[in-house]
Amino acid sequence: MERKVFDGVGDIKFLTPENCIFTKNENGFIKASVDGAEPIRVYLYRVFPHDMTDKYISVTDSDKTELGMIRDIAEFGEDIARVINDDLNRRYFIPKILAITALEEKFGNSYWNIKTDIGERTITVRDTFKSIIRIGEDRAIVSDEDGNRYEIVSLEALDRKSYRRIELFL
Amino acid sequence: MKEIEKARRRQREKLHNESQRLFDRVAQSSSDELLFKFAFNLDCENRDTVGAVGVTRDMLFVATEGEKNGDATSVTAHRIADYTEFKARVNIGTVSLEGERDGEWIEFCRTDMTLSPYVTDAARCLSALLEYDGEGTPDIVYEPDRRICPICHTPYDKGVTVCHNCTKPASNFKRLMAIVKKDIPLIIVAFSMFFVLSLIKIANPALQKVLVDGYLMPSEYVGAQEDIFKGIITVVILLALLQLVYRVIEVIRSNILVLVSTRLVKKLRTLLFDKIQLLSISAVSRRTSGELINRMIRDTMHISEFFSGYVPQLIENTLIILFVGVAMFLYNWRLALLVLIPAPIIMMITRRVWRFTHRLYHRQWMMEADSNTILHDVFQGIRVVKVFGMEEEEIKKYDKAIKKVAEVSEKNEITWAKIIPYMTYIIGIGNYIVMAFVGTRIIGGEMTVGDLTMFTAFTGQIYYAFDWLSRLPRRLQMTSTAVSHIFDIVDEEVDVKDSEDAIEDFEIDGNVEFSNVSFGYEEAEDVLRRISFSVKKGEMIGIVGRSGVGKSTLINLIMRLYEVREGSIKIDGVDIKNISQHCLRSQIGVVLQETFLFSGTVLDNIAYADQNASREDIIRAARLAGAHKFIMKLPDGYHTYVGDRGYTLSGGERQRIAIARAILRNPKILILDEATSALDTETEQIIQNSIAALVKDRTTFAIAHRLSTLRNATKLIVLDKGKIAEFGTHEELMRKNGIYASLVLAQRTMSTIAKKS
Ligand SMILES: Nc1ncnc2c1ncn2[C@@H]1O[C@H](COP(=O)(O)OP(=O)(O)OP(=O)(O)O)[C@@H](O)[C@H]1O
Ligand SMILES: [Mg+2]
Repeated sequence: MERKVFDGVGDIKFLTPENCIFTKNENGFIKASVDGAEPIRVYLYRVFPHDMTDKYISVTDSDKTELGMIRDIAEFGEDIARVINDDLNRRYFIPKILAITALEEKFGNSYWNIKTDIGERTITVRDTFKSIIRIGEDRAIVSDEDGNRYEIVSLEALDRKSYRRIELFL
Repeated sequence: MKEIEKARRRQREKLHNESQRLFDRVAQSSSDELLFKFAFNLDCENRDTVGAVGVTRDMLFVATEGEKNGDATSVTAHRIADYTEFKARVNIGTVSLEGERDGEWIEFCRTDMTLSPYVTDAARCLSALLEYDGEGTPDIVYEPDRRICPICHTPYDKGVTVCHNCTKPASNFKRLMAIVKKDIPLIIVAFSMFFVLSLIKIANPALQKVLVDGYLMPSEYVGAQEDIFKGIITVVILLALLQLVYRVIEVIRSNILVLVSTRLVKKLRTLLFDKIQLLSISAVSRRTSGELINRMIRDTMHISEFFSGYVPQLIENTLIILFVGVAMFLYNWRLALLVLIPAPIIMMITRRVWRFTHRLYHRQWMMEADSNTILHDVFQGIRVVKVFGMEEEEIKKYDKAIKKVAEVSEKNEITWAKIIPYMTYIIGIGNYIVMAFVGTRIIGGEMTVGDLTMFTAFTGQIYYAFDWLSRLPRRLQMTSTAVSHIFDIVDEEVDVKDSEDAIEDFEIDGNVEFSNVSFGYEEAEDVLRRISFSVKKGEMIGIVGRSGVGKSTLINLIMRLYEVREGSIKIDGVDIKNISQHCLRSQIGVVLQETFLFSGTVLDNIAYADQNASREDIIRAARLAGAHKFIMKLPDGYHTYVGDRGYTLSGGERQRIAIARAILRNPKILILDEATSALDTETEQIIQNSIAALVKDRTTFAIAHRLSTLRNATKLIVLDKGKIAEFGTHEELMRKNGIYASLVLAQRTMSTIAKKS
């Protein structure tokens, strides 16, 4: 149930298939034509990157002025949705950790061997406790010292050994 | 550990080797010399790949592997002159290099964050190449490596030039020793005391043996009852005396160590504090104040405890192992061997256990810190909590946090309670060996009951020492971490530095000139771009623009709180880089956007600008700032306590004290960043008029959203999107009918509406 707090003020400009056309140009960038204007290159940002990856997408121009917001990517139909998702996936690169095969700690830093959905990696995590951010009870994001991020989609679902390796840092 | 280190190296070498071939291809493709090159590791869909980029004076080459392994490599060439802009786009987890050509962007390459410095620096150099006019060699410096450790190839923390991975604990301890150098004679005295203490420790069991074998349970006739009686008393007195000597020496030794370690703490803290004062704002604000305070207080305490508590024990236990070991071997080498053989195994077991429990407790400690953060937040923001009526929720939140802590600590205690008895048992195992060995020999008459007591005591001592030593590595690590935390800051390169020949006694006249100044807080994103303007002595410059456009940033640059990335700022024709920071800032008076009052009296706060100001000058400054009247209404006048725990002043009152502070400095350049934003227009006007009288010969920079504040400004700068959009007098800008004019109109409409209603 939607609560009517604002009653017309502070309205969000929502982009819908009716008022906005998304296309992908030959260089692989996404362009949008809003309210019939010339198509321009747009930049997509997740408003709630942690828990709504395909809803509430802010669309801005190169000056970061927001042109509008997508409420739900699915509204645009399968083909356009794919274009939008492709672009988001290029912007948000967060490999998922499938298993942790080794973890050693030294001087507050830790060294991990991990299996991710894009292959095996060896990462160094500085200040381990602070670098693992819990999202809700079950998810976690790990930032390594270079600034890469890795996601643990479900701590529950990790195999026992992997879980035991990071348990003490949670 | 080794394994992971190796894997990391393999990962790096793989990229290096694979890209090498691509670099060769790039080199073949170009006839010109490569200015710089770098490897990248993702394709545009974020899939693993290997690629290489090479840049010459006018070309950019991108080499990539073919679709499948072994396929031909492809090299694409781009003419730099075809492009109008180059940019490094920092995404989440990736960075890409993009260029704009005929209004369309294309992406050249993409990498994960591991290689990001190579890309951001490339974008910077490419932009510089775009401006290069073809004369001579282009003046570009590609040096992404300056922020990467040459040994392990991981990027340094921002601004730090020592690598966490590669600092050796030994070198840290060496530096600590250098700090306590003066106290080394004292340390040597303490050390010799350890010798005596350990000797007394092994003398104890030996004397006990004499007591037992010689008098209590002699195996043969030793003399008359009286003699035995005397003998016993003598030995007991000796034991008591030794014990007394032991305690006295112990006290002296502890005193010496406490002295040395408190001096060490003091030195470390001074070292840290001095350094933090020297560091630039960006270096300091990169860390939270909590973190800095932790380093000042906790880490230094840690080190001191290590010195006064652990080092002595370390020496003592090592000596005991040495002495007791030797004594045991001399007395009965077979028994000694039997007792010592299980020692390494036991040490290994205990070490594992300690490691495990340490981690348990570390986790508990972190959770406690978490719940403390909640407390801290609630107490700091108690007003917000109350006005939003969130008391219940905060209670719940805190309850949840401490419940978690309670659960964990309960679990830990139970684990602990389970482990400790077994640990004690394991440490006591040597005793059974002694009992069996000596016991069988007592029957045979080869050994005595005294031997048994002595050896049991020796075994206890030596096993206790081993147990203690097994705990040491952990502690050593913690201390080493604390030490590196401290040297981290001490070693940090001061990024806004006075040059060697910085002018110390430069007298500012007041002409300020910006030429092509670019600056950004983050590597890839500029806040201000190519700002140029000049201001003559005595002018008042108003700076307007949207919130977040970079107004405060601009004035921060004038004060040289940050170093410009490009271009220069000159005062009276001299680059501010060549004026000593102290000299520069001592002639600038500033009211910052966030007014900050130290805890202290009103007087202290105003006099902060000039410690030697007379009381009368302070009153004059306060009067000019329109602060005198309300100060006199405070209970203790100028001696009223303000700041953290003191009298709570209103926002406008705080601002006026800050203005008084700035005026007192009698500055050549006055900077007012929203200095009067919290005041009503009338009060503002009064203060403005008095300031106007004051600033006649001074250059003033004033930032304000309320444009009426700037009515006295001789010129106005309108910032938009990081650039100067408009520059001129009020009349000129009104005629221009641009951003400024529309702002003025909007605010006028506002005030007419206000008047009407
Ligand atoms: N220390 C900092 N580190 C990183 N970014 C910063 C820092 N200080 C400011 N910024 C960013 O730089 C931009 C310009 O900030 P600045 O404080 O100069 O704005 P301003 O024009 O003074 O705004 P306002 O009118 O709200 O005071 C903002 O986007 C801000 O988020
Ligand atoms: Mg500001």
